[in-house]
Amino acid sequence: MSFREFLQYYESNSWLHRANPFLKFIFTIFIIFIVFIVWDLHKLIYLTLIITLTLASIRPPKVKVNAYMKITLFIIISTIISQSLFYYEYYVYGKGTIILYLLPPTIPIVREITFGKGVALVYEGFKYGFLVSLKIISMMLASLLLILTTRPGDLIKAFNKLGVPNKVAIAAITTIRFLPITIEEIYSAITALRLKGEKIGLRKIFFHIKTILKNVILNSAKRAYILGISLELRGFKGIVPNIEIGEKNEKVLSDILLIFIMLFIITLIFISTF
Amino acid sequence: MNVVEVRDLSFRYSNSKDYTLKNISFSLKRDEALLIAGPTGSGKSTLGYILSGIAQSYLDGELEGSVKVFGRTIKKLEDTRGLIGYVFQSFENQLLSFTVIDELALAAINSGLSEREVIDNIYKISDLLNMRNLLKRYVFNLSSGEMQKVAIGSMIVLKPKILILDEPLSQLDNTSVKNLLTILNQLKDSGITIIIIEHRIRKILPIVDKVLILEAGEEIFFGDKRDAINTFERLRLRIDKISWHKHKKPSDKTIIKCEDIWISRSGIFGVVKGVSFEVKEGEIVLFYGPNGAGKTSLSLFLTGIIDKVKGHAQINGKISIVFQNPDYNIVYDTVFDEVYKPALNSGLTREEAKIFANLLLEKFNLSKYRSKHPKLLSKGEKMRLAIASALASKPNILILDEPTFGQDYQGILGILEMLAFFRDKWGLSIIINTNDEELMEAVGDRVYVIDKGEIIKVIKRGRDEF
Repeated sequence: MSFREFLQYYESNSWLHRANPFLKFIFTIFIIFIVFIVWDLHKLIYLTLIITLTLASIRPPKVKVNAYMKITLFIIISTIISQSLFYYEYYVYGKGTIILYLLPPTIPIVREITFGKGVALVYEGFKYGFLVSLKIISMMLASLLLILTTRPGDLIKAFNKLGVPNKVAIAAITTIRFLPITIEEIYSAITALRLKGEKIGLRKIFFHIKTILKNVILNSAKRAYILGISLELRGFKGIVPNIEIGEKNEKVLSDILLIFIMLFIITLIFISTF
Repeated sequence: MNVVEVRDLSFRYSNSKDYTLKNISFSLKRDEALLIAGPTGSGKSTLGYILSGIAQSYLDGELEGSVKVFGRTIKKLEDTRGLIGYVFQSFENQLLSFTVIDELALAAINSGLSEREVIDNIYKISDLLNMRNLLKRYVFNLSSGEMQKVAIGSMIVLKPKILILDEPLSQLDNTSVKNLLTILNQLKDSGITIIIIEHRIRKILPIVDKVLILEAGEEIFFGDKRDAINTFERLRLRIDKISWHKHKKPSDKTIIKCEDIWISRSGIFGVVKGVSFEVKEGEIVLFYGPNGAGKTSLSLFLTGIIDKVKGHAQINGKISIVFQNPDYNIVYDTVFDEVYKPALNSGLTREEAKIFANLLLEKFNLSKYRSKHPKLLSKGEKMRLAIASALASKPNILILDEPTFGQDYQGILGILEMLAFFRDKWGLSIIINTNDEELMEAVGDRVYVIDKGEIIKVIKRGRDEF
């Protein structure tokens, strides 16, 4: 799946597609806020489950689901590994239950580098990594709920309702629209360098960042130039269309359901706190 | 009444001593379709920019003479708004919206029409262009042909009097070309004056009435299309089929052998379905088929950029690839580096790489640009540089993805001559992906006709000549 498809809105008649865009925007902000304030593992598990079920209820295309599952898995594994290996409380305060030593402090160089701690898998780090990964996943899925089910024109209107000027809203939407293409161009530049025999590993890529960015900026400038002229030819005055054809859907039930989910989450957090 | 009237038009870019256009004069009546032809670099696109007012507003240069559209002197882009629509060669870059319907509505909604009027206009345009089924689709999921339809639709939604198209056929396969020509005929019948800048003259000639031929910025012909044939032939423009039959018996050594290759891409299973083929040393192999047939996916697999799902592939040599858009091959800051660095990375010493790079630049007639930034070269020069750069890494197999894209006839012949030279000299095997029927008819020791991910026919050509 390309980056373009991964982040794009898809046409459907799901209840969330029918919901008020402004309410969906508020829902996303609400989830992100909750994720920020909640540090309890159980609450985060419930929250992630609710968001996952909400996402599942709109039945996204299978190809998107596969991609999200892969990314989710990657986030969980990489965050858990990094946190359990480099759990700060262990290295700073010496706190934590060691599961096993990968590099014991008895090895002279390791002892000096790690201030006598060695490199160990720490249980608390493992738990903390899982918690952080749930936070990242919840925020990612909540943002996806908005992006996948809201037409860009509706998003601009939602931004406008929050007092964001039209120019800024258009700039934000244009960024969302062209970001995946820019990411693909970064890949193209990396591929071109590889084909020319350049070694591009994780470490070496930093030597080529200037070359890659220069190419991407030049291509983006060219695209912006053509887009600008084309818009001027069409008399663009900053109004982004948001035309809906076909049957108009009843939105009230969807909005009520979305509000219900938010209330449910608040109750869940409230009940388990007190 | 003359719709377009150009008198003694000259244009010189600020960064150039020479005039890009010199004393151009012509006029066009309502409902006439004009073809602007000429070799690469003859000033065709610049003329298109001037007619639409883009040059007057955005290009840094000096303009002499006059350009009138419907009696109105064009001094800036605003003067042509509502009168002229412009479809760029890279039409995918001129689309802003996420969905087709929003893209078609953009001009209309910004002109102050009500939503009902906008929707009526959209339905009319989508029926005219036969694209009602696309209205709800996401713009960037469309094929090149569909995307071009949207670009045309977005420009004619406010019913301009003139539509200018810059190389509209360059990215299209045969079916899409036929569809586009039908659309252009319909637009002509609906009263829109069409101006087309194009290299594939043989394809476009049936729908135009007048022809303007430019050479090095000078107008060398303007008149009825029937009188233009001699000038086309004299300039060796692409009026006839490609004439190039330098077949040579390849060696018996198999350099690529693929069996039952399946490839998935962008989440779609079976972009390539159980394809088997082989390439011999020194052989020119063509994969011919429409856009989306799986040609590029197959090449990306051979190059190692994407992986196969199943099948067996045996590749005995180093592969290099030149993409359809040579801009994607070009990454360094100078033309010289573009050839020198791959040579150096291939294991040559600095001195050897320098000599080899200079030889390649000379062979591809690019020596004079060695210090220039590659992005500033013309389309033809960029393609030559991309090939030279790919050859600098000393591959055994060179893949070219749609190499005729944006090339004039001389440019195509030049590329083919170069390829034949390196095939004869190095035993280079060459794989060409194309949707260009004329190229397929002229080139290739072996042609694999590919459609919907499957090889449907194999043509072994020129064996009698061996």
